[in-house]
Amino acid sequence: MLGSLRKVGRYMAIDMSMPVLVVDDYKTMLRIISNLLKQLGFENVEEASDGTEALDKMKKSSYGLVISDWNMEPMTGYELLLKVRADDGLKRTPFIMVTAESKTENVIAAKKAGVNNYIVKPFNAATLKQKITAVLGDF
Amino acid sequence: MALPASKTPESQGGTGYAPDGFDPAMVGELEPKLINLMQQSEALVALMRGFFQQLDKRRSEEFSIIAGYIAKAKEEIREMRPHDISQERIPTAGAELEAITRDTENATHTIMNCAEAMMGFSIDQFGGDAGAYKTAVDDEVMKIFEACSFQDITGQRVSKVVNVLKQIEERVGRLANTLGVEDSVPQEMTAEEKRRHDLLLNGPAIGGPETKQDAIDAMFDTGFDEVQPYEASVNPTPWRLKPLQRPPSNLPPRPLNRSLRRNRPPRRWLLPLPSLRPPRRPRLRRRKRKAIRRTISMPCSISLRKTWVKPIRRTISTPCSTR
Repeated sequence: MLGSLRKVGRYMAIDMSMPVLVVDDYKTMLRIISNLLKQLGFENVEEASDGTEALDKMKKSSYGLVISDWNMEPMTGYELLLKVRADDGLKRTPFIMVTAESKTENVIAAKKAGVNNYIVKPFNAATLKQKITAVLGDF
Repeated sequence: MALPASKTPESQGGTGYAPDGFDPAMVGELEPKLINLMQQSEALVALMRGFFQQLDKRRSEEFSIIAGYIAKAKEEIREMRPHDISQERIPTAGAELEAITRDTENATHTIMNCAEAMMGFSIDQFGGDAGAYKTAVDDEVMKIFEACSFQDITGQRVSKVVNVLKQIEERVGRLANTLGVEDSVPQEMTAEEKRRHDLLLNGPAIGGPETKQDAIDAMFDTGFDEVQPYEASVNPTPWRLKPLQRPPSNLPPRPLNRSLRRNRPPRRWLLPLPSLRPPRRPRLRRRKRKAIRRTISMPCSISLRKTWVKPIRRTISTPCSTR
């Protein structure tokens, strides 16, 4: 699926009005990522402060991309990823982890759980764009 | 021992038994044994009394040591000022940390507000007045500078917290040393610890990310099956020595010196040894040889290397030819 998505992305422009969900328990980080996404051209960016809220939002409406932190309470980003991939209706949603958890075991666990890309904090706009491009295609 | 009570000695006109009913012969026989037994009992009692007295003394000494130990521990704990730590220092440290979080958050939001405001500026908003535009931008930049002052205050707060932690560490360490306390074997993880372990919540690493973004990208690019631990992926050192190999068994045995023949090892284990004889010089022509002989007879030291032969021969060849 993702492979085909990438192929499609190479030849078709991404719909920049697609909703993107940013999940982080720190308002500052939510604001930073949202601003970066808006700078990159994404028009519809929504925010959630933890995994539970994000899951509720994802069940209510569909998102073209989810960008989530790992370390959150009560539901972590990793648990959110597992739940998203276990749900038939949500499992195809592209998911990028943005986290300070930089151990190799974390990266491997996230990959096994089905993450599409992994960004280590601190990061910059170029890295974010590069990873989104790797997942969705050029924009 | 029960004896018949009615028997009295016959010489007294009785039945041959003592008035208390004991047989005198038996009494005479048993008396020394009883006396011996009593003496032994008394000795044993004396011994036990001494033992118990010693035991009491030792126990009292131990109790006095324990009492001293407890008194010292109490003194150490008093010096630790636990109430001061629990009621004063730790709450202060916690408040400082909360203040740090609050200050940094406020500063970040201020900076972001200013940045957003500047991003929203347009020259049209100021009626095309570039001066007004610059003034507005400068105001926002000044706000950013002011907000950055949080760093100084945060640094001071952090150093206060670090000092508190150092004091606690020092006092607890001193108490542990005084009491001779050693770390116990770690017990089972608490529910929170288990959750953190299961969900891989390690937190940010000190000194930057443990795995760099480039390494993560490489893992995503190459596929996770090909990712190997660092040690396994390192090439072996090129200068690693090769193990000693046996010479092939079909080689003819190497001729040995006679002096070595006596105690020589089995031939199959012999390795070819480097020759100690200098390499043979290639045969030169007759005239060349002559010239070299002449150079040897010369008083100066001249090398016999081949490169030197030609010029020397030329110099000497003239008298040779005239002769």
